Amino acid sequence: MTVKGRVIVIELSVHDAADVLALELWDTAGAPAVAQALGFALPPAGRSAGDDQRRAMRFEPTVWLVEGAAIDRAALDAAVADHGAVTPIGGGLVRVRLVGAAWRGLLMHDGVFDAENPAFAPGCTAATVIAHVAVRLNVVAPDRCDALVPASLADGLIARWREVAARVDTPA
Amino acid sequence: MSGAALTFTFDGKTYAARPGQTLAAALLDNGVAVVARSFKYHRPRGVMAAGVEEPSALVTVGEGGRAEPNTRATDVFVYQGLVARSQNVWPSLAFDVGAINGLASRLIPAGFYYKTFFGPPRRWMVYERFIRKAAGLGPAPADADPDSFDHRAAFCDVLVVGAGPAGLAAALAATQAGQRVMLVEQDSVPGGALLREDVRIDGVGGPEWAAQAVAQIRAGGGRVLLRATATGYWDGNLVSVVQRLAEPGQVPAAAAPVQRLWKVRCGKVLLATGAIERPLAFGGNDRPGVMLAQAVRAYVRRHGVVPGRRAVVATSNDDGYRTAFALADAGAQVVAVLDSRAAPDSAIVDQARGRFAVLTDARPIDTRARGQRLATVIAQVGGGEQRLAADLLAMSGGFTPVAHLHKQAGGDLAWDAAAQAFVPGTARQAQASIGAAAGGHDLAAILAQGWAAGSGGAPRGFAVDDPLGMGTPAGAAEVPQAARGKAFVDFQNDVTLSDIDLAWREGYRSVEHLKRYTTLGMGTDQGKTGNMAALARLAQAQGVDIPQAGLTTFRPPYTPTTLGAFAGAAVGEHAGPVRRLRLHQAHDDLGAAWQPVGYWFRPRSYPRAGESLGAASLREARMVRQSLGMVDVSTLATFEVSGPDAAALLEMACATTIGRLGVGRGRYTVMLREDGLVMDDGTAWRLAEQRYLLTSSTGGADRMAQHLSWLRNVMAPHLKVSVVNVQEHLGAVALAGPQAARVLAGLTGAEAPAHMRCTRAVLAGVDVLILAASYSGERAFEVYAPGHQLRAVWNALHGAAVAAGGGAYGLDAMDHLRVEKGHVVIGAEVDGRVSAHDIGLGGMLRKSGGFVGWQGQQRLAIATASGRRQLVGLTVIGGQALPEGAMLVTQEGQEPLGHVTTAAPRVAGEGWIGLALLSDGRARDGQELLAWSATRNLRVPVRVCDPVFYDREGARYRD
Repeated sequence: MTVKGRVIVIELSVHDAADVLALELWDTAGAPAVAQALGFALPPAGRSAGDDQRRAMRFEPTVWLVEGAAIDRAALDAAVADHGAVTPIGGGLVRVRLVGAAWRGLLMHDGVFDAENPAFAPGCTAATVIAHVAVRLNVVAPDRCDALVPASLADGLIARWREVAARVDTPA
Repeated sequence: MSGAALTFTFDGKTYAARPGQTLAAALLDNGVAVVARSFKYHRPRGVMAAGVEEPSALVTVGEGGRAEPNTRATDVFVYQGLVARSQNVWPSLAFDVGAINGLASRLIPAGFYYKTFFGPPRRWMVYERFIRKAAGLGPAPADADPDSFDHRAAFCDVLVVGAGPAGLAAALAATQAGQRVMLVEQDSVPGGALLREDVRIDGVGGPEWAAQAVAQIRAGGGRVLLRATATGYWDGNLVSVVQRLAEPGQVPAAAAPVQRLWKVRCGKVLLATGAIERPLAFGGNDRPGVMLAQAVRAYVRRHGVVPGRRAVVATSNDDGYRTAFALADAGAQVVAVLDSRAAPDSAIVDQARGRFAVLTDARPIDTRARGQRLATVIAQVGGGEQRLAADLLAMSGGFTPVAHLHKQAGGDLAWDAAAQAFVPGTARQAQASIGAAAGGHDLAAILAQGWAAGSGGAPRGFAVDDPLGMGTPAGAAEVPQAARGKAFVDFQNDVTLSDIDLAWREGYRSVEHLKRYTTLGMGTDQGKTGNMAALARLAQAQGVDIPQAGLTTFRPPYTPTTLGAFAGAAVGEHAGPVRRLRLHQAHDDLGAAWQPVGYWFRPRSYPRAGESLGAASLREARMVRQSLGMVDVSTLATFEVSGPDAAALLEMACATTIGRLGVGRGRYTVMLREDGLVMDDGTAWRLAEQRYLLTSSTGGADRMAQHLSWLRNVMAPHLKVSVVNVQEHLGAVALAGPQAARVLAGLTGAEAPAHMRCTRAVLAGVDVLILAASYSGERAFEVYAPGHQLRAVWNALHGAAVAAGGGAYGLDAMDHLRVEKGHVVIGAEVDGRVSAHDIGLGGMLRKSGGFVGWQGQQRLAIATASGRRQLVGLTVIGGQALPEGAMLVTQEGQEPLGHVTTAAPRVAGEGWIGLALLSDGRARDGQELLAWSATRNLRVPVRVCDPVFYDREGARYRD
């Protein structure tokens, strides 16, 4: 939605996230083969790599979330081999795309994470809690942030975000 | 009134106000002297202060659900249509019957309330009725609050609390140093003390300089919040700030919240919270017309209101003289300045002597009123007395730095003997106090101090032009040894000097006891104006200095905070996040009656028209026994565990053997805590050579996720294993009943797996995982599919089930079925106090150990069966329903032997059955007991039996 003429101007759209996989590596020996399968090196903690067609995001020490239509699951499984495991998790996620300069302000509501920090820039990821919901954030562009939200809690959180986004806010 | 643009009502009468005026200023402007009645004696009270410290002028603002009681008239800005009412009065503010309490004050001294507790309880029941009516503040609104409240986080390098001169200089310096800055100010405009002083900074007037500073801070990227009060300072440099987006009682902008709670995490906190002026203690110091001197100055200079035409200024310090000049400049007659000092010597005193009558060694000792307003000040001057006709007495008894946040942050206080005040001492967090909050009094020095604090030490001078000069540091007035009449110390709670003396005589030595005995320092102002005088009196009685008398605790919130601000969006029936099933709409379409289960909402049953919930659930349960039923079990905890060490990890988590499971097989399992008691239960399935699925209870899902994470990352980081929580990813539908295998086979085109086997299949075009496990006691299957594809699976199953004479069933039916089968549920039978042996699962435990809880369950207290509560079945003797939670006793009034954990009507039969945890239960087979609920006045005779009521051999679910 777009609310113009107000402090918060943001477009919020909801997308399927069925393609999301959890990739865990318990040793680093598998990383080069995985990088070859993905087409880019696995990102360090708190970062993402790739693009909308093929992306990896790291939120935990040994786990990456891999997504995108161009991901070759069989090639990925083969690359991981005995170094780790790949598990589909996308059936339980909803992807919410926040577009607009005010996405940072929106994420500060009911949250505990410093989304307003300029260092949280494109290529950065964060796992946090917003309105009691565990949310994974990925800054895709200066005016776009994607949020992966547990499906069972998505309705409530998205409704809350729409409510906050639509509000006449006081200038900070 | 010139410039008036707003109208408001007070006690039903309409008045005019100017924009920017507080309600207190507007009432004074309209000549309203009496604003409230006091808490205990119902004495007429006017406005005493000009800020949040106001103890007396409490009113109710707003109507209906927006009504806000106990609002300080000094802390609400007038808006068009504001409705304010006096409170704690009957029949009217002008004539209040409750004022009789003042005449009977000898009968109701300090602590009388506690003395009413003595004697027979019935006497207190009588007293209470009168006390509650006679004393009190405004009633809470009965209607629901129609507005919303917001929570927001913020992070900054520097948080500055207070936009007075020190805070503004600090925030400006920090902004220019490139810091992320946040400045919060409880007032509606910045400036603090500058709003009441006739000074110029760097060539511009104080208010203008303040406005320019805010503009520069904002231009530099700083965030400035007005009407925002820092209410609490917590560990980790977390400061809570409540921002008013609408005034009390005001309708907020469309869809906007009325208040916002900011949770601010800061690198550094600069506390520029100012100081609060102290009143003087003398007889009749609470009359309307007796005000704090700085407040008078604020009304004159900021709000354009002169609160009296003939004024006496009583002061212990130079600052009080400023008020005399302000009043005189505004056209009021300054009758005299009473200076308690014997020989004050400063430039401002010299200037005053040329303009007013300055009486030294002089102090007010009593007052007289005309009607309800001050008319005469009786002053002690040297050894004599003078009567001064005056309708305004501006008093200044020194200053108390606002150190609340500093103390909340764990900081120490130091004693400033000259000012007779506590000032911030050692700080425990990254905080510093500046300006008047740190005891400062010279404007140029305060500005320089603020700048240095904000810039990290860089110096900067400010050109301050103050026609009255700097003055000497403020000294505090001495508390008189004796006072005529009622000399109030705590104006809000009607606590006088003599009340403190009485408490002392009655043995209350600690300041904490004094507080509770007299109610000193309680209420909405928390003693902001009165505590120091009370401490001084206590110190006098003890014969010690004030610091030795002790201090009460500075608890948050600093000012009263609306409960809605704490709740934020978490309001309404559920007051929390709601977890919706992927199949929510499908259940809704079938007419589900919803049941909140933790955060989840699950179908309780699907009642037909005119059917009760009980009848519906029993019908559904019998449908499962007779043909086929399906239930949404997507809330079950599910974990995919994969890797070469997957079995090793599962054998740590589960107390049964997992490692020997063949691919395609599953097993019921139980998980223990480290203390050996049961934590959860579930099933483990070997999906592939190195991949397992572990399920556990819905209620314990988060706990199990945490437990597995701890095992994986702390206890066994060396294992090559991946544990992924797939509770959200996988949805599941359980299909149960004699027709289940046939219906499933028809949909998948393949034979259904045997009991405790699993297989993959395609159902309705979706790849599904089928687990053959029974909770109901019938042949049953759990069909798992990714959540986004589950609806298609449900639709296909439901269509086939209905065709087979079955349908959906809900939680209640599922519970009836499992009780009849004797299956435990986490939270009921497994209540955190039972061992696997207690619930009949001891034989399943892996003899070789190696699982969490293995050592713990060998403890004598657990391993010894005697005296432990054990799982049993109960059959009701007679036709009554069995009350869940009822105590099990041999006869009414006896010590309980156990309790009913779950009750259910018989599905395959008539009457009621239940499960229970009963001391030495298995040895009581056949014993008759009473299920007794004293609170519900229920008594149901029961017979103890085996917990499995149905198909003990398991023939129904085996192939």
